[in-house]
Amino acid sequence: MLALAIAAGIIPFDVPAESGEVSAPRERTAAAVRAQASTVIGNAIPQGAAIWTQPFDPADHAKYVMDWDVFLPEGVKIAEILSIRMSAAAAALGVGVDQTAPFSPIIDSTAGRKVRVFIGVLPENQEAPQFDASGTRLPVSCKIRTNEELPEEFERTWVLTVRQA
Amino acid sequence: MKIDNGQKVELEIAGVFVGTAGMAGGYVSFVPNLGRRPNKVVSAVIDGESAVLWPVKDAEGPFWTARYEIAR
Repeated sequence: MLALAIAAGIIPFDVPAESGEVSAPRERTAAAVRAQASTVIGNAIPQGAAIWTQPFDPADHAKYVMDWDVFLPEGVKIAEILSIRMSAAAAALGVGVDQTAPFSPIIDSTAGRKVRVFIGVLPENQEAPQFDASGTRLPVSCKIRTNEELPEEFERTWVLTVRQA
Repeated sequence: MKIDNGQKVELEIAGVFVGTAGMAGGYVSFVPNLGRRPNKVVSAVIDGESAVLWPVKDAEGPFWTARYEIAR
């Protein structure tokens, strides 16, 4: 399912935004902050990007949560997920966001301040040497629009560590 | 909602890389496999089309990530 989704994802793919229950272990939930620390993580990864602490094994197909709760002002919700983007290095390694129902990205239907994605790696890439030892850190960017009367748009990046676990 | 997982492309950089690279958001990423490190500006072939790349080594990991421009 994911293989077809990513293999066919040569063109950015438009899917309807949906909402639902969003939950994941704390290690797979990371919060974007408004004023990011100037921590240098690496080239192609923005400074101060939120980091998911649980590493992703290439054979996993698991949900990760982008937590906007600290970032968004009180009472403001995510109205729409505008885009989710992977990096060129992620594309080379076959790491991608699942676009197929019911795994496509959703907004938390309870408070409307989290986004859930399912991540996977193409089977042919799962034994790549870049996933050995400490693995590879890859950025995943999410852009949202708020539900304010004058909607705002924000894009922030989360960091996923993919390694054999 | 746009989901952009990028795409895989066939990339050739003489003496530096030949094989499948990743492309997303105006960048192409590869791990050199022909022994030579890329220069600051290199000519390349992406999916059969001539291109110019401006590669920069990622601060961590083996990837080089390059802006690219398809030659017209």
